[in-house]
Amino acid sequence: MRKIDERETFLRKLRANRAKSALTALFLVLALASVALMRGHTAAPLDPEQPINGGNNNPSNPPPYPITLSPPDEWEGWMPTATETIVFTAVADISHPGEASVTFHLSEVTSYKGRYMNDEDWKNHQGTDLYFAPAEDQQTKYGNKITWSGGARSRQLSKPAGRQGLSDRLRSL
Amino acid sequence: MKIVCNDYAAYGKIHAVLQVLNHAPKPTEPETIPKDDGVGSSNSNGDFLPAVAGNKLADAWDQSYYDWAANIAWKTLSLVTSFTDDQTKRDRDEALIHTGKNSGDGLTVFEEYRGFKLGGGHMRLNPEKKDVFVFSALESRSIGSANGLGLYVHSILADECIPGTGEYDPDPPHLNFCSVGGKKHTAVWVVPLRYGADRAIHWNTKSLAFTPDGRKRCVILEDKLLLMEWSGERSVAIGHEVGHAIELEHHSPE
Repeated sequence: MRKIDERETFLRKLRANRAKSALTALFLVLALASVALMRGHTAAPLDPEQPINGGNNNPSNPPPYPITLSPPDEWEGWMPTATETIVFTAVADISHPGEASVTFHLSEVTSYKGRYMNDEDWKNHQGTDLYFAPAEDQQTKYGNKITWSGGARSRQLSKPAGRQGLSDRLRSL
Repeated sequence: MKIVCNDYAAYGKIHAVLQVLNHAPKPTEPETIPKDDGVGSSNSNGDFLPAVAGNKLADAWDQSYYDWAANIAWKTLSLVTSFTDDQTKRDRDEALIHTGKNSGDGLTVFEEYRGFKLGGGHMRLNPEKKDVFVFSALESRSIGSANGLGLYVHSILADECIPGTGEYDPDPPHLNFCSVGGKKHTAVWVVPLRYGADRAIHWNTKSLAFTPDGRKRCVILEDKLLLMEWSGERSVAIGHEVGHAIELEHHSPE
């Protein structure tokens, strides 16, 4: 009789442990599924219209934040002059209090390859004197990619410079 | 963003990218440097001056030569159309000069746009006029010309071209060694020839053009030149021989 009681007790404990294990496994599976779903969400392409977390902090100025690039003054009549420095200005209105940065990218920087130019002559042009380039004090390890970094709260990230007296400015409203 | 321009014909594009945390990067539309979008504008007279988009020449330069189109003669030649070609196209000075043998000055539109170091400064050239570059080693630095030739004679400094190694070096002086086309543009190199220096010279000629192998070289008999008391006369004589050096035929019955 005593042996039967001991066996029943053992079986009850065994069933209880199995139920706990199943429940644990179920939670584990749900947790993993949640993580997978979250990862799937963040891997989706970023949409400049929609902030990912936190919603829109300022409905009056929703993203995408406007950014404009302005050439120097008197741009209509401007022609390239060797050693002259010109200034481009980017202005972005950002109401989101998060971190923001603006990068400038120079591309297709060249002079000219004429139909009469042979390869050797063209090679001699490369990297010599036929380019626009970032001013020396703005050159970085990125080469032609100039990066401003700083919080959107920074009203002015660099001093006005250049003959046009324009400033590089990232404006936060 | 400060950008240094390193060439009178440099070209490029710039755009900015705004990156806000948790948002995709937002780029601006690219801007060409110089302005090359082909959007024309009106001049002070209210005339609309079109420009050419994407030819890698500054719109301002396009427009400056459309301004020349206000001249009746150019309008009749429909030059606006011809200028829409790419900048490799020869410029508008291809017509023969008087009785000369050469058409044009050998410069492309791009080269005239880029310009040259001339007389101590930079100068863009007129694509509608023929240009001749002359260095004179003679006492008189002035170089004569003639009305109606349609030539621009640019007096250059000795260090603005790469001369040959000697007075009779057949290799002509090169101007703008970075020119396009591997085609070195030559300057007329006016040098004095002292009496008796070369028996091959026709001694009765007060001055003469010397173009061995078609090279541009102008050799002036200095002794004859110095006999001219009036500097203007010397200037005319030099200009006359420069004309010979570029194969004009001043003495043509026409």
